[in-house]
Amino acid sequence: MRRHAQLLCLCVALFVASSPPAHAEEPARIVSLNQCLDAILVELVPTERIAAISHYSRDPLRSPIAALAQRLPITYESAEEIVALRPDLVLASRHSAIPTRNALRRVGIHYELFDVPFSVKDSLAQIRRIAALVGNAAAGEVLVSKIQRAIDAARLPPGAPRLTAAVYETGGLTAGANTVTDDLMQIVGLDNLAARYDIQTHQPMQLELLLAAPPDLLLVGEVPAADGTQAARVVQHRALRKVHSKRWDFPARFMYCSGPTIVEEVAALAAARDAIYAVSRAQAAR
Amino acid sequence: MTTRRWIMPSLLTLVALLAIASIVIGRIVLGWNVWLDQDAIGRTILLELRLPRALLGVAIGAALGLAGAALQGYLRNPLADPGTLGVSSVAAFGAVLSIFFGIADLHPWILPLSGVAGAMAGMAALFLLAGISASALTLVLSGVILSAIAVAGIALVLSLSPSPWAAGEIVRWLLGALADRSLDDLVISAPLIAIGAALILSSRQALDALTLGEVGARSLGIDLGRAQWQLAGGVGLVVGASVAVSGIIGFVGLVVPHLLRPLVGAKPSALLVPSAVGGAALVLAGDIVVRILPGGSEVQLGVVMSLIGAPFFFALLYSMRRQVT
Repeated sequence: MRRHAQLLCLCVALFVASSPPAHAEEPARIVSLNQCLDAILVELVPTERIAAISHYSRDPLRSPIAALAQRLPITYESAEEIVALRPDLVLASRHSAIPTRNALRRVGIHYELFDVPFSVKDSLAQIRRIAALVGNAAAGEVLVSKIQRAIDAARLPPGAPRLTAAVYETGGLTAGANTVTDDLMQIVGLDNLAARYDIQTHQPMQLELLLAAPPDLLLVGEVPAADGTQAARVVQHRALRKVHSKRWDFPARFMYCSGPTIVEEVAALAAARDAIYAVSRAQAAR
Repeated sequence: MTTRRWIMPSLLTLVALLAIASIVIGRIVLGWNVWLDQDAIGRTILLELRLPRALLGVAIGAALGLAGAALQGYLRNPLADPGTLGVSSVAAFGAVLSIFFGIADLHPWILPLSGVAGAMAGMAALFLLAGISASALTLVLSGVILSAIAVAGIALVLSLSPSPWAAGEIVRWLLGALADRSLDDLVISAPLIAIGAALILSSRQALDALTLGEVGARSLGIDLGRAQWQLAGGVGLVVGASVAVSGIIGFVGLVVPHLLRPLVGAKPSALLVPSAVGGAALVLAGDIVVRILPGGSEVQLGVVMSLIGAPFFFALLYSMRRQVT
């Protein structure tokens, strides 16, 4: 009987979570356990209301908010640390360990689970959900419209030809169909080679596929100098030298976090596209 | 003979001390006044996080040590460990499937229960593969097959996982840890471990008889078929229940019987209980080490066990080799 009641509660809770909250009680001690959620959170609430962010946010190479993160408390995603912070809202991602989430639930700490967004629409919905949770829907709309303005500014100009492109990060990782990156590529006027080969989400792409039909634009991640790892070598593979695609720097962090990162990412994609247009215009003029 | 008299009390004392240390040590420093000050947060950390973790360390360590000693005795092979029958891999596969399909988040019991269901399925498959009157060799080979299938299944699930985060979630669980486990996990695993341990302990006579070989054991009136399935069932239960809660923690079941054999003698039945207690001590100690290691995120217990266990085991083998030659 009790089990049924729990299940019912869970269903009700899920239902409530999916509909916008009726009351606007502002949580004052928010803990975020994921770098991507951190980046959204700092845009929506003043830092006094953030009890802790994830330790990944302090990484100067991968985090867009590394400087700010130095001044904020962090956790290493252990239940002990989170409980000791007495948070009234925890933003968790699938990256956090399942036992940790279970422990939070047992102790009665309100946590919200976020998945990786699979499209721009998902990402904007995620921002609105966080904004509603922290009781600042207006700030959420401001951020959403800022992202939408950036996307509109990068749209393919009417009449301009579409190009083919592929993301190729260390380890051969690419952004396939059902990713925010794929969505943005479509908007900017780039046809994603990985999606055409039916690669879903973030998976490695075989080098063969890339060589068989080299795209106009190859978006590669930064390769740290003197990095002898196999992962880095794939990007520097001999065969890749034969590919005469235009190379453009595309940091791996674009692939994992969306939200505010979209502004920078979509601008980078548009800049890469325009660089190819400039090259072909110069060739036509000659 | 004198060593045998002090070995059990000192092992039990060690476990008690380590359990207390396991409750005291952690990232958040708790004062002695947790009880007096009505410190709700401190009490929550103590009762909901540290205590279950220490108790699970004891239960799972005991399960792994016992299973290792039983299998080494039964197979008369010092290389056997709790993973030999493949049940631990299948249990891990069951748990991983529940993460993959996203049902593990619906209720805290789903993940460990999926692991237990996997262990049961693994045992059923073992019966089917090996047959009721199997020889020890068929049993081990069936375990190898089961293990191979389960590991392939886990790899498949990992490569199909929808996002890097989801894959990370699975890998994190697989590496084996006791961090942030709760009393729920103990409630699920402890009864199964107790039943399995009872099954293993009730076959100690057969284990001793088997030191004379299968023919010798049979001539002593031991029903080998029954003893074998009692053991396999017991090992499946204890190992499956531990893996379902903690993921795969290697090396404990392999090393502990080797450590204790010189102290308690070569009789397999005499090794069972000391191995269980020794396993508990080793897992508790390892779980304390992962908490006091420098660095931010906790290293996974399974990783530390193998890192410490392998060189240690090597040193042990080296000294044993010198004694023999």
